[in-house]
Amino acid sequence: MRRLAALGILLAAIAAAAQDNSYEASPGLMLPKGLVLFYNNRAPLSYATLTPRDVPADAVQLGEVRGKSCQYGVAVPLTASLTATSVSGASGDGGYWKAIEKITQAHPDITGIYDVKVDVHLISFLGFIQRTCVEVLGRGFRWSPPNPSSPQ
Amino acid sequence: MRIHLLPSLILAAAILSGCGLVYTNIHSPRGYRSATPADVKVAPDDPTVTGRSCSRAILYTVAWGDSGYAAATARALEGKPGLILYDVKSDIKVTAIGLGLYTEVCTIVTGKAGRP
Repeated sequence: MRRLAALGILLAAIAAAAQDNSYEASPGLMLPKGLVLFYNNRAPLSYATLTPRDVPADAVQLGEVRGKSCQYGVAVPLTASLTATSVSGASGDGGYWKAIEKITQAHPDITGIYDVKVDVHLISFLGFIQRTCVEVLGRGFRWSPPNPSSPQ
Repeated sequence: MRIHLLPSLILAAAILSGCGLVYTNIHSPRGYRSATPADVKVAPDDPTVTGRSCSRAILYTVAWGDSGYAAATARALEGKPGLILYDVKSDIKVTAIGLGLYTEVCTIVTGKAGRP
């Protein structure tokens, strides 16, 4: 009965982790493994994205834009065993800001993005090498506020 | 047969996370602040559309696929350029067969397509 309860708690935790509001803090740090020798990662936490209502009516649509930022991790087992302790290191900037920076570098005239979808791209090989990327996909727009000094 | 708790929990996590113990290359959903009817130009004939994106894992070893929001919304809006999803309901569907020997994790988005 205790084993079933523990399994049920694990299932609930996994299900809960799959659903979160993007404006609530939800750290996306890569999990360290074993003995951590070096850890220097930046990861997504929260992002209150724009919706179409937030876009000014006279904004110029720039179409679909995307940006990506990644964290990298390496874990080396100390012995040739499935339960061996490993030494690991992780580095990278996989945060929202880096992903948005990539978008602004590709579109220097962009003002903002809306209708944003955020996905996580995970690549892992035997647990030795892992790359976790945040992919931001949205619709870009360009807008300049009206000049207050111009005559009406 | 004695079942060890910790390996069982790890195996359950591997099955339900959709990851492979040897090789993993998956996209998974993280966040999507979808539009509401107040955000778009609602029309009474706006179609209801649905899109699904899935990642899969086999034999607990290899996992691949794209179950992210971007792929699901793109499939929902296939053939409808310039439209945007609103009033979106997102679901996750997990299928595991044979104690998780084959696992499929899908993101399903259902909503209406309207003009932004």
